[in-house]
Amino acid sequence: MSLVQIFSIIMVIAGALGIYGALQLDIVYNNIVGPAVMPLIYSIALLALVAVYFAKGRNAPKIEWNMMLKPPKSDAWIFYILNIVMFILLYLLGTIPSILVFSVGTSLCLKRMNLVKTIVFSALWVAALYFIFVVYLGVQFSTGILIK
Amino acid sequence: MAETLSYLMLGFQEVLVPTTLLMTFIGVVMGTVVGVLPGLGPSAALSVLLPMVYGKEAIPSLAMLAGIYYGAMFGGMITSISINVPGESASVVTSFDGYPLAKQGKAGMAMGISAISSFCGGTFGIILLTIMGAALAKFALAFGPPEYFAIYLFTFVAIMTIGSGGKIIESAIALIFGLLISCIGLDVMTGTARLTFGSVNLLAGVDFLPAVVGLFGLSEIVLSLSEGEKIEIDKKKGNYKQYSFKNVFPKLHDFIHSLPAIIRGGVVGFIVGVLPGAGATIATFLTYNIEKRVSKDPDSFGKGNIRGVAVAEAANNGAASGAFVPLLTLGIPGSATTAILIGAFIMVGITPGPALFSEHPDVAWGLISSMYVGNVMLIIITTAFIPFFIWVLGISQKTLPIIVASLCVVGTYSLNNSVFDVLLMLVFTVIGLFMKKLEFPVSPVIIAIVLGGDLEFAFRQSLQLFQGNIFMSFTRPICVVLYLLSLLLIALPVVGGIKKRLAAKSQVS
Repeated sequence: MSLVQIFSIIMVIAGALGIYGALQLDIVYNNIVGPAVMPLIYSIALLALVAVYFAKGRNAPKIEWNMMLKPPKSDAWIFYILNIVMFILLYLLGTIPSILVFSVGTSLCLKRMNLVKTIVFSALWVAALYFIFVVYLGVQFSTGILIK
Repeated sequence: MAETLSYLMLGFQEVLVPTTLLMTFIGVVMGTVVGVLPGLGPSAALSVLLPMVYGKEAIPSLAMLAGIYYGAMFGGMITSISINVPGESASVVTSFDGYPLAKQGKAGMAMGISAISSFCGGTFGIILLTIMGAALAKFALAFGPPEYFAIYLFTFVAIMTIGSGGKIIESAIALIFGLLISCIGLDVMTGTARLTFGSVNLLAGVDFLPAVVGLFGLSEIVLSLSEGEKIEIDKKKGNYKQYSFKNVFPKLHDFIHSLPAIIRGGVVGFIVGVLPGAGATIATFLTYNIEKRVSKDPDSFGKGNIRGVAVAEAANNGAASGAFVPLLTLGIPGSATTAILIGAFIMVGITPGPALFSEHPDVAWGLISSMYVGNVMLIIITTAFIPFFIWVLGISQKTLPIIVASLCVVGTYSLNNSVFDVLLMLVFTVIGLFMKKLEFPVSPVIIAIVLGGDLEFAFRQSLQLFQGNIFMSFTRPICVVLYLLSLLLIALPVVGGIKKRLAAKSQVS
């Protein structure tokens, strides 16, 4: 598969969901256009444009999956996965543990700094975030459902 | 004119207080750093830092964010000239002549002229904004829903055509996708839940912050990691000497030689900046080509002509000021960065548009005045602290992904204390990655998310006004002009394409 094909599929799903959602709504309301009209127009237009784009890019090069597992592509994967881990930890344990784990994990996995520098940087960074968001902006950090 | 000047004085009164001065200073320094760092453009930086203005005072917050925007235009030249790595796309043209000048040992002079050109281009743009802003806003106060619908339509057509860089289909897909996203949530006229599929989290719609942070902030970092971009910087002390204040300050004859290019760059940059979808990058390429054409020595461009540096820097800063005209007077963003600034206005409780100048003159004129002050700060910062910014570039490579990603997550979460927003941000990161890999313009998605609801509201209000007959809007002159301009924008690339095909056919035959 090529990137063009995968992206086209994502856009087709978006368009199809738009049509499905719009068909549940009123097309006419008080003798003028109802809430369904705009999503319907956009979804149909999106599907038509994606069809043209798909046809234009049918000869696009296929993804070389073996290259995806080698640096530097693998660094991007690891980084994105660590972001997902941060999101899950944010939900479970709260903001501070999730940022600490993400910061240490990213630094070590991507070989950015040695362990001592990583720990010092992570601690300072979490403290800086706490100061900016909690002290300065008055935002409540998430405590996570497990700690609650 | 006297009225404008008195309002400008009011603006300076608002800005020349310690808090606003400090915030403007923080903004321009952060903007310069952002301009220096490759892989973190002004849109990404603004999106990441946007949550920091939530609930804060309007003038200092907006002055800071605007400072980041035009500061990035200034800062982009530092790495373009010194190491041939443009920090953001609007600085690419600066490197064409700036880097050859650096190789000739004239980096200091190039940066000095660059900083002065940026200052002149930016200040020139702000003067035009001062003159035009209030007048245009007064004119726009008479607009009704049909005029607004026509303006939104023109903006979208301009983004798809002028702003697409020849990728009309891709730009249209991005735009329509954004419009579809803007439909999610409660319908403004009937209160019906649309495209929420039973999710309570989607009832309030897709907030623009998770979208902008994912599409610009996090995806930019993931992409630069996937491409393994690393910058080698010469750390020898001698390398920094050419950036000392004495060497950076340009000689008078260099400035006089560059002056015509600065004026041309500032004027054309401002005009291009006002147009929706065009932006600073197009302004720099356009003015560089104009400068080459009017030059007596066009062959010297690309080999270290100081006018090439001057015109590009004046243009990108002029364009940055120009982009504020539709933003402040009509509430219409012409680029992703100004779309994010609209979000900032809303976050501090102010709706940009024609009423801004009459209802919140302190904010409108305070912001404009902060740009004068910020430009003065920038010229001092960029000429005196160039070695500092190059040092920042060196150390940032190790920590930038961690800093940006954690700011993205914490910033998105803190908007509504919602983990769902963080999930949305991660989804938009993937979409942003695909779009950037496939060279889709990303800004139409954001502009459509910001303006989509207003477009639909204006359309449906117009229909109510005309009792269901939208063609009645052809009786209103402003609508007719805007529809014709939109048609012209669509027709131009079509005619161009047909001409090209005919020329190719005649060559073959």
